[in-house]
Amino acid sequence: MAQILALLFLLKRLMLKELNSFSSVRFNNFLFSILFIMSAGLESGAPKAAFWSTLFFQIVLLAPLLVTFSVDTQHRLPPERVATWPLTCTQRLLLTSVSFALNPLFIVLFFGYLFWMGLAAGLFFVLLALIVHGTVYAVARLSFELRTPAGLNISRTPVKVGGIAQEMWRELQGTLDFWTALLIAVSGTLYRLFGRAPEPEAFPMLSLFVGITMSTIGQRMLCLDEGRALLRYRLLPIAGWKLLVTQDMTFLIPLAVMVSLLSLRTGIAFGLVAIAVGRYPSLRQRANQRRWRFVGGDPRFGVAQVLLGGLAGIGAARIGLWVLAVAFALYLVSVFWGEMLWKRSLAA
Amino acid sequence: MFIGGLGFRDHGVEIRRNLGVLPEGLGLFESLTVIENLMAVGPIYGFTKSETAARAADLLGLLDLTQGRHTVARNCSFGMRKKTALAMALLHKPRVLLLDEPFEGIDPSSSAVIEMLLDQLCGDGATILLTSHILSIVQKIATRVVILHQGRVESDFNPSTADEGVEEAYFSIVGEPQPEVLDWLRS
Repeated sequence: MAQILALLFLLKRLMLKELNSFSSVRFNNFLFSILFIMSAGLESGAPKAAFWSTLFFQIVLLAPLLVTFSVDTQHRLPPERVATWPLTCTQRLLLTSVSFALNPLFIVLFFGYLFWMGLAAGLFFVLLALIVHGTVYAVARLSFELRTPAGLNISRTPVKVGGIAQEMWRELQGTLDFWTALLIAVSGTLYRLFGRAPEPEAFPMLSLFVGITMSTIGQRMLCLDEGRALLRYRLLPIAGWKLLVTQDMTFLIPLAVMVSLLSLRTGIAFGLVAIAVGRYPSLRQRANQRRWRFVGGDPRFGVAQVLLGGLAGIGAARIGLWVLAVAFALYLVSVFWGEMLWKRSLAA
Repeated sequence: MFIGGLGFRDHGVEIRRNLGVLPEGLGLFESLTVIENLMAVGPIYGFTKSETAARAADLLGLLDLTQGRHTVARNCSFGMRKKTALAMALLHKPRVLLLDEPFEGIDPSSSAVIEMLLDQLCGDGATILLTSHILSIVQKIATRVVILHQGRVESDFNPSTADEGVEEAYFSIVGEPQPEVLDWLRS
């Protein structure tokens, strides 16, 4: 008993330290937008009805969030450390289950759903959590390694900065923003290709939504790996603007591919503005970004990215290509300014 | 700050072209494999892909990293990570090397190889500034030793001509350790 109590106290202490997971989701542009859509649904009617009417958005919001909870659970007590402890298999199983359920965000969300949206919504949340945790737990124990297919090995290209693009591309794939954006883009493309009488007005909006989902990355281009590569970038004999453009293109090209069948000009215009607005926090703010999480950004720049990027995206779709040209000009200015900031940071 | 007569503010790129650094944080691309880390930086120093591949293969072989070359950096052991960062510092044959604890966490045979490499670079006229707490190695390879204690330079000497060794000089400054046996560790 004393052993279990000691472990529970340890879990409590670790969880309190882990409250920074709030900060990793709080200022994400995509999560903000989803909460905005959901709150609009809540204001319009009864919360219970709002839950079921926004079920798709609830799942899109909750599933990646629960993945981060589950990954946290796996990492909270390092498996190699737990393996050395004198515990039985049952005690180990109990430990991981308790560890998952005691996540403060999980508890807050469960009671939120239970009291505001009813028992059914609360149970739905728990069921979804169990499915996600079970899947993550099982996948983590599979004996295979995820490898990037050789065809995507950018470092083999004749470009000098191919290695930097390769690193950025891999780090991009380590964010939940990328995979959520891909999920939305694939769903939207399938809707366009196979939907019954798809609404053309929806395509720029879907493209915008993909851009918003990716946009927080624009604020953290240089520290997606907890800032470790930044040290190497500082040591390399490479001009700042080349580094910035390489990273920007590694962000923009996948975004362009994702929105290519939705509304390319909307996606590109949004992406260019999102990068330009995110330039300052990307170069000046340091964030402890962890893998397999949503990227945490600065709310001031996040709101600016969504508003200005949204204007540019919708403008490019409805007014014409000159809006795209304005977005590109803004991007060029940000590269020039970024080069100056980079030089200043090297001299400091 | 000036390195090789060039100011960092105006000649940052040129200075870094001739500078090899093993930083405390190692500065690895965590998502790339050991070989990809080396292949990523070579072209930035102006080498072709084949030149980089040849140099990388030599360094990996010398530092006993060939077998683990396809391991992603974040999954490497401490020693492998350190050796990869060292290989990245040496790849472009820099004229100035700044190494932070190059022998820490390194296996004995790789340690001997690093000693030999540094000796060779030094013989070719490169300047090497390294920090280390492994005093026996410092005694063996350094031509000038500076001991820092509490942020101040306490000693600056050439170990081959000095009366006392590096270890004696160090302990005379920081004081001899006073080991205390813990009662509960006794049988």
